[in-house]
Amino acid sequence: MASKVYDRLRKQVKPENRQFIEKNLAICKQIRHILANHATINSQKALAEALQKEPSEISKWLSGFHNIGLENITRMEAILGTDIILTDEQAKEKYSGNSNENYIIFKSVRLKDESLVIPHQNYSINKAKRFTSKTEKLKSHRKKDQGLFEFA
Amino acid sequence: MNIFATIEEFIGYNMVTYYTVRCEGALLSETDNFFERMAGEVKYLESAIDLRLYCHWVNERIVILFNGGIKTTKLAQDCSNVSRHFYNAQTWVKRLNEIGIETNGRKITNLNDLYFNY
Repeated sequence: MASKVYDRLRKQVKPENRQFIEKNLAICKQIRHILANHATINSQKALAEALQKEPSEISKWLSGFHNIGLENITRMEAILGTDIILTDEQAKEKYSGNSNENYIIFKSVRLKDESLVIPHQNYSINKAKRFTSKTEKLKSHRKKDQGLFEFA
Repeated sequence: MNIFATIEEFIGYNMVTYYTVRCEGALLSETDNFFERMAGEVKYLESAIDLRLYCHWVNERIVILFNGGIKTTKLAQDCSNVSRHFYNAQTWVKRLNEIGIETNGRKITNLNDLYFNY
């Protein structure tokens, strides 16, 4: 049973306002989570000091109703040394090491001239891409005769 | 003169149930009254930081919502908008404490039958 007044008013909330509050609260929750696990900046007060802001301002930011703004979010990210918000693409890039999607596990990588062997249980395609810096070469990784990589 | 009030459920979620207070004979509960008044106040969206809805956190599963408004002074006691609601909330909480709702960890899951006067 819910209040009829509350139900009626809730239905009148504009979708963009609902979205704003939901996103804002999610960002605040993420910041609180980072603070709870951070080695040095582990309180709102410590964050305020690091940002050279008043604690009351940080409290306002984390209320969920204040538009923190991208500049302030990125400042916090720089100070906390971690991401607060990520796009889908950034999240895929960051967490691809934990995902099985687009992720091929092989035991070793050997260059054709055998100049370098990297034995690594979880060596990923993404890391291999960075390693070769030539993504087009990766397309031929299954063709031993063109043999850039060999999979054990 | 005693004014009697009852506690009724406002909205329930899986983890938390919010209750509110309704004075005897009142058409709306205190929190419904708050929302009805505030829905017409366009400016509260711009000054949400001054918007106050007084509440009492009983435990992690129960919160009692009272009334509120837009606070215009530093102290709630000095504000013509919210001082009445502030004092009412205090009175109700005091009364609730007197009759033993504050339970130091014991879970109270139903407040519907409770009534009190202030």
